[in-house]
Amino acid sequence: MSERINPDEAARALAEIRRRKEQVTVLSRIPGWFRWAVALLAIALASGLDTGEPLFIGVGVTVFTLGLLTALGVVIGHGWSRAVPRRDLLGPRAALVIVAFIALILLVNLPTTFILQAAGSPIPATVGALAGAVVIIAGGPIVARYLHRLANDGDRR
Amino acid sequence: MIQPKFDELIHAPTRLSIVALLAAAEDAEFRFIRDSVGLSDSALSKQLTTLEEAGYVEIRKTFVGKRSRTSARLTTVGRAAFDQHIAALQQIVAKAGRTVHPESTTHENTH
Repeated sequence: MSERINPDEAARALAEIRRRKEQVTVLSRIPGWFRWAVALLAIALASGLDTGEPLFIGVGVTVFTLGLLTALGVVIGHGWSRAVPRRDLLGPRAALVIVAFIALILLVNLPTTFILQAAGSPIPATVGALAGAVVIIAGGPIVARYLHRLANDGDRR
Repeated sequence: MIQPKFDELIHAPTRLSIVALLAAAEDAEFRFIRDSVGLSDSALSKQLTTLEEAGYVEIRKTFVGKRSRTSARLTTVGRAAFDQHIAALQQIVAKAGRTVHPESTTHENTH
């Protein structure tokens, strides 16, 4: 039966398959506002820690936790209420990239905080969080683009 | 190694689009499929029923609060048939000595 299908039609069918796959993988894309939200929440948390006051620390931790959970809920709920992208679409390479990106944020944030603390800065954690925020906002789109490419090229079909 | 096998049921244009969407997802909502493929409710129901009868698709109805949510997913049989169908399409293209550019519908003769 497949002999009736000419190569042009087969190529068009393969292109259609890729197009449909992209429609699903785009749902797993993290929106730009999420990066800003995480960065701002981290700064809010760090600002609370810098005061050294239990009340402000408590407020910072609460705002960070609730804010992060809400943002994650919105991102997951918005995309995944329509379709849940296949779990193996990204693969282990994507997990490594995400872990490496988180490690990079911490590698910028924590040493900055400790160095400033040792130097006697009054707001070491806030400045450290700001440095981490720059990495999140600047590097986030690059990581997102790479993950999207992995999802679409992961299995060549 | 996937054995190429052309599947007439999947290859019908609308069903190919539906199955390709479902293949990239664990699970997809009825409305998402309908809007993505551009079908009416009844047309999509008909196509999904055809795929369900072939054992390629599983249709689920769940409740989120009082709202019902209808979703569809490819079965293991459906996923295997789709993989074989893709392999068959790739074989047809390869036999003609063509390369399919992944990001577009264009292709070129490599000979």
